[in-house]
Amino acid sequence: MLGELVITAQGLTRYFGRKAVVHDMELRIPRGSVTGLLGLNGAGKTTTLRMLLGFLEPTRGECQIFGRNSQSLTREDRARIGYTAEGHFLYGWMTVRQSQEFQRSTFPNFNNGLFTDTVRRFGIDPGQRNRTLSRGQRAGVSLALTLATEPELLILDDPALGLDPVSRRALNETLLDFCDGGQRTILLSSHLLDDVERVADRVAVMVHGRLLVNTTVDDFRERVAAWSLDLPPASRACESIPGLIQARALGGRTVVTVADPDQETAAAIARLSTSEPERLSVTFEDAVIAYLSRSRDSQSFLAHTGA
Amino acid sequence: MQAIVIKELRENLRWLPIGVLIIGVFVWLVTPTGITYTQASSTDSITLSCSMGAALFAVLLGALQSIFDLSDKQRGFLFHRSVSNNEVLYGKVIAGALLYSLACAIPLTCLAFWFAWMGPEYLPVRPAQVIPSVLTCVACFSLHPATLVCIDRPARWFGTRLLPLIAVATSLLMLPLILRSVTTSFGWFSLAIYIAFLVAVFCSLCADHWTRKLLLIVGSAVAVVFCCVFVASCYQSIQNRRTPYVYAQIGLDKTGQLWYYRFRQVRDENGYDTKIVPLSGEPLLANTRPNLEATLPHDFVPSDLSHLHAPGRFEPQNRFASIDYFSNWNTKYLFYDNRGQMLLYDMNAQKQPPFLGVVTKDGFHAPGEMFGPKFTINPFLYGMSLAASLATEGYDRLSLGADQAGIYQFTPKSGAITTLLEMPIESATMLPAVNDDAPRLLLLSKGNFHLYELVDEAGQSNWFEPAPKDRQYVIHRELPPLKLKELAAFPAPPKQLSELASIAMTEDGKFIAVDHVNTSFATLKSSSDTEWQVTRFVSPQSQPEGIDAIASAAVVPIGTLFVFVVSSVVAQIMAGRPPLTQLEASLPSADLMWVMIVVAVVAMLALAACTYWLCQRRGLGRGTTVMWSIASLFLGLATPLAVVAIYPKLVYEECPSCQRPRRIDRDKCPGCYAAWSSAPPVGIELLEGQALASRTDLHLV
Repeated sequence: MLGELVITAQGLTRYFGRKAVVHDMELRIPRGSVTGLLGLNGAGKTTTLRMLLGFLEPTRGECQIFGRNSQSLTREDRARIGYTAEGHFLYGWMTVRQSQEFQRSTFPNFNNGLFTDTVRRFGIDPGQRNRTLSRGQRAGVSLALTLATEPELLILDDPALGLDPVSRRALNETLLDFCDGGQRTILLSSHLLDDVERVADRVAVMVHGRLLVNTTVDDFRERVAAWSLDLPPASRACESIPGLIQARALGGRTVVTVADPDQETAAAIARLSTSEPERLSVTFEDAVIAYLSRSRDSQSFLAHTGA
Repeated sequence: MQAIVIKELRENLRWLPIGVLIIGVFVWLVTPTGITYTQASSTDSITLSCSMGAALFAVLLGALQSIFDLSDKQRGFLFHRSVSNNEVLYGKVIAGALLYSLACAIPLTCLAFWFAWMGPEYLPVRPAQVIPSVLTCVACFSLHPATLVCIDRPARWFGTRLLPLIAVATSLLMLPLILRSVTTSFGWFSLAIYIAFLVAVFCSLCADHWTRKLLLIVGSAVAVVFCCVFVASCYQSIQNRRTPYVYAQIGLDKTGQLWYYRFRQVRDENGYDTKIVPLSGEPLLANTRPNLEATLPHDFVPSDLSHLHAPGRFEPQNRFASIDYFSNWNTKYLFYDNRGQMLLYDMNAQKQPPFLGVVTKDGFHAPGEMFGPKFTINPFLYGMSLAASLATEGYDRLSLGADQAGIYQFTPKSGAITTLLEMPIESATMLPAVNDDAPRLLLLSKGNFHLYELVDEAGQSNWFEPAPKDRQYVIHRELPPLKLKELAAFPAPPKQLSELASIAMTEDGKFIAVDHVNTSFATLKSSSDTEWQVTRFVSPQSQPEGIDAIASAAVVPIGTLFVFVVSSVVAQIMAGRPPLTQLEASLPSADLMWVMIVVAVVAMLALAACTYWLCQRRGLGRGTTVMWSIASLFLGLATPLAVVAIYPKLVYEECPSCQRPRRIDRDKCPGCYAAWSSAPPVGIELLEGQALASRTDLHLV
C-alpha cells in the first residue's frame, strides 16, 4: 500500500518537436517517502520535474501534486512545495542574507531559524555575496532557502552535482533531518547512486523517457539478480533469458543481470551455461547501472545483441 | 509582489545610468548648438529625439529584465514562489516603470531647467516645451511590457516572437498623428482607442488573457503591411529604373480648355532626372476617361493651376509646442512655430545664438518680448504661394503673406510689416500674370471669391515689370508699397471644389476650378456670372493599368485590404473630406474592372481556404475555424499569420490502429477512437506491488 499520494502522474507524455522525451509515465509517490529519480542525461528527469511543477505543459496525460493539476497550482500550493533547480541558482548580486530576505517575503512559512541552522551546517557567512560562494556553499544556501520554507514536498533536481564529499555529506544529512518526521516527501533526481541509496527509500529509474522502475529501494534490491555464466562474450544466446536487464562480458565470462527472476529464468540460465552458473551479489549501484546501461546504445551489450 | 518589485529594482538599478546616458545623448543631440540653434529648439525635434532614446531604453530594459528568465534554472527559482506568474511579470513592469521614469526624468528635467535658465532673451524656448516629450516617453514605455510579452511567450525568434513589439512600435508611430488631431472629435476618438490599446498591451502580460491574441493580430497585420509595402517599393524601384517614369497632369491652354496630358521623365544612367518630355493629351470633357492617345496642340503651353490652400490646415494647435516652418527672408531666417511665434534669426550675425527677436503683425520685437498680435497661421505658407507668381518675375519671394485675418506686405530691408487687408480669409491664391499684367489676388471669404488687383500707392497697376524672357541671372526686386483694389466678388464653386481646389483665370476672364483628387472641374463664364457649371470626369491618374491592375487586385486583398480601405477612409476623414473620395478616385477603368474583381475574389477565396486549412492543422474547432476564415476576407494575409502566432503547432503521428495521422496531444484517435497504446513491456519493469510470486522459490545457487 502506498498510503496518501503526494505526486501522481497518469500517462504523462511530453514531446519536444517529434521526439517523445517523457513517454506514458505512471508515477505515484506517497507522503513521507524519499524518492530518488535516476536516469542518464537526457532520460527525461528534469522534464518530468518541470512538468510536475507546472513549468512545462505535458503533451498528453496529466500530473497532480497534492491532488491539484500541476498546470493550475495556486500560490498556496507552491508555498507547500520546495524546489531547487539543477545548479543551485542564486542571484549573484544578492548576499546570503538578502537571499534569505527575498525568500522570506515570498513564502509565508519561511523559518529563519531553520535557514540559519542549515547555512551554519555548510559553514557559510550570511554577509557573503552569492557570487563569491563556492559550489558547495551555493548548494547549502540554495538548500537552506528551500528547506526554510518548510515545504511538505521537496523537489530537488540533481542537488549534489559538482559537490565535494564534505558538502555531499552535509547535504544528505540535511535531507535526512528534513524528512525525519515522516510527513515530508522528497523527490530528488541524481546521478550519485550511493547518495540516493543512503537517503532514499524509494527509487524510480527512467530509461529513454520511460519509467522502468518505481518501487522501494529494498524491493528493488531484492528483485534484481545477477549470474556469471560460462558463455563467450557478446553471445546472442543471452537474449532468451526472461527479464534480462543487461549482459556484459567480464573476464571471459558473461554476467547477466535479470529482473524478477523466476523458475523460467533459472531454467534459461541453466540451459545456456556449460558450467554451474555463479550467483553474484547485486548491490543497489549494480542494479541501477544495469538499467542505465540500456540507455547507452553504443556501450550496451544488448544493443549489439539486438535485445 | 512588493518583494519582486524591490528585487527587480535592485537587480536592474545598474541599467539606470545607461538609460540616462542613452536618453541624455538623444536629448543632447537636439540642444541648441552651433548652426542648429533654430531647429534644435523646436519641440518636435526634442520630442522625436527623446522618444527614440526612450523607446530604445524601454526595449533594452524589458529585454534585460526578462531575457535571463529563459534559462530554466533562473525561471524555476523566480517563478516557483508563493506569488503568481502574473504578479512576477507585473512586478517587473512596475520596477521597470520606476527605472524608466528616472532615466527619462533626469535628462528632461535638466533640459527644462536649462530652458528656464536661458530664458527667451537667449533663445525662444520655455520649459513647457518638454511636456510633449514627457507624454511621448510615457507612451514609449508600452514597449517595455511588449518586450516582456515577446520573451515570455513561446515562439521562434525568427518566426512570430517579435509580433507584439512590432504592433506596439507601430502604434507609437501613429501617436504624433493622433495628438495632432486631438482638437477634433475624431482625434479624441483615436486617442481613446490608443489608450485602450495601451491598456491591452499591459493586460497581455497575462498569458491566458484575450488581449495577447489581439496584440498578435495587430502585430501580424502590421508585419504583413510592412512586407507588402517593402515588396511593392522594391518592385516600383526596379520598374522605375527599367522604364521611364510617366505621370499625368491637368493643364490649361490659352483658350481655357482643360487638358489631361502625360509627361515622361527621362533619367540618365545614374538615375537622376534630366528632362521631362510631354507625350500626349486630350481635352477633358464630362464623364470621359482620357485614353491619352490624342495629340497636344502645337501651341500648348501647360500652365499649372493655382492652388487654393485649405483653411486652418497649418493652424497652430498645441500652444506649448514649437514646430518650425523655415522661411528665408532676405539674409535672415524666419521660423513660424506652433505657438504662433514668428521667430527671426540671422545666421550671419556675430551674436550667438543668432536669435534676433519675434515678428508679429505690428512689427519686430526684441528677444524676450514675446507679445504683440500673432499671425493666426504661418503667413509665409500663404506668402510663398501668393508671391510665387511675383517671384518668377524677379520680385522678393516673401514679400506678401496672408493669414486667416488678412493680407500683409513685408519689407525685408526696413523690417516693416504693412497690413494690406483685414478680413476673414478661408483660402487665398495668386492668379498668374496674363499679358504682362500684375498677378491678381483671389481670396475666398464667407463663401465668396474676391478678386483683387495689386496697385501702388497711387492706385496704378503699372508698377509691375515682368522679368526679361532671356534673363540669365536671378533678380531680387523689392515690391513697392502696395494696396489692394477689389475688382470683383462672385460666389465660390460648390463645396467639394472650393475647399480643396486649384483655380485659374483665362485670358477672356473665365474661371476654372479643378478639385485636387481630379474627379471634377467647374467653370464660371465671367466674374459677373452667378453660377458655376460643374463637370465630372474620370481621371486615370491613379488608376492602375494592365498587369499592374490585375496584380494590385490580387495583392490588395491578400495583403492589405483591410488596412488599405481603413487607412484610406481614416485619412479622408482626418482631412475633412468625404470618406470614400480616395476610393472612388482609384476605381479602375470599366474594361479592367471585371478582371480585377475576378482576380480579387479568387485571391480572397484562396486565402480563406488557406486559413481554413491552417486552422484545421492547428486543431481548432469548427466555429473558430469558420471565424478565422471569414476574418481572412477582411484582414488579408495577416489572418494566417495570426493563426500561426496564436495557436501552437501540432505534431501528428501515424495512428497504430488505423495508420492515419493523429494528434499526439489527444488521447483518442479522431478516426478510429483508439487510445494510445502503452509501450510494450520489455520484461524488466519493476513496479511496486507487481513482483512475480515465484521469485521467492529460486533454486539456482
